[in-house]
Amino acid sequence: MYSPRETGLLFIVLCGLFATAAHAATQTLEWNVTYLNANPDGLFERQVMGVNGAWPPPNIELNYGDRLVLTINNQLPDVTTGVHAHGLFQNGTNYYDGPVGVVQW
Amino acid sequence: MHSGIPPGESLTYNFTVQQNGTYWIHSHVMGQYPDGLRSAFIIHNPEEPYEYDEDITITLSDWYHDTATQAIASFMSYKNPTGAEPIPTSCLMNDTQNATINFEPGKTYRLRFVNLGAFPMFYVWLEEHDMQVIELDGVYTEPYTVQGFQIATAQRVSVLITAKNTTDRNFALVASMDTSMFDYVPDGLNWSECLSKTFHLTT
Repeated sequence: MYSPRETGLLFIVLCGLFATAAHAATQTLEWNVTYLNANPDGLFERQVMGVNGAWPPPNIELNYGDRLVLTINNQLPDVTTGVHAHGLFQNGTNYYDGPVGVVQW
Repeated sequence: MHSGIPPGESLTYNFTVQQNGTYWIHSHVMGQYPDGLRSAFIIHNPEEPYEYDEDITITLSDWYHDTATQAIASFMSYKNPTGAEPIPTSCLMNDTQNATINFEPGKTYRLRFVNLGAFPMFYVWLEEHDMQVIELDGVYTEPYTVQGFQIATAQRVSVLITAKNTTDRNFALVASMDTSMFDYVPDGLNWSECLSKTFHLTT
């Protein structure tokens, strides 16, 4: 027999597992990368690379287990681009790791 | 292997996130990320072991008036035989110098710091507040109390801070560039201009 405390803990753990499974979601983002001007230090306006007509680019927020579907539209007229999610292991998805010229397909 | 996404073309990145914590996403082509193509990448833990009232992301960055293309040309030039790195003109917190963070007295905040800059390390502290480190680079730590910490480029640090039970004054959250990394400190460079006012509010 489980004590009430153990039963409670088991319940919490199971809830956690189901909650994780239930909430795993797909986040679909589209980033149009363009040149813009910005003056973040108030001293000098300069060319920057922005996303969807704004700078800085938005932060990305996900929950554990979520899928990210991020489309990068390179609207820079003169240079290639590509993004790297720093710190992610990319097990099985090495081709989305992003260091161009190294592992990106 | 190929040479990235050419002008006018697209690529869809498609993967699941199977780690918790604080990361960042940035261009990995030449010097594009110091030109601004970078942001924080946060993965929340549905079974978060630490308790806090609010979760706030704070990006830190050096800032240059030259574009990366210009800076690389000077840096990689025969006129720079010692390899002296470009020295930033400014530093930014949440991509501005006027960041504010609202704290309510007595509440506990998780601040996720990301150094998405190109070069200097930062010293970080909040006036008259201790903080507990709980995450380094996407890995939980045992809670460890500090008065401040250092954060190098690409590193991430999460801390818990309980706001003082006072509304008498505001406190500065300071991120100060490590000037020992610079070959010289130009006149007028305020290496601690990168700070925000942390407002203590009445509820």
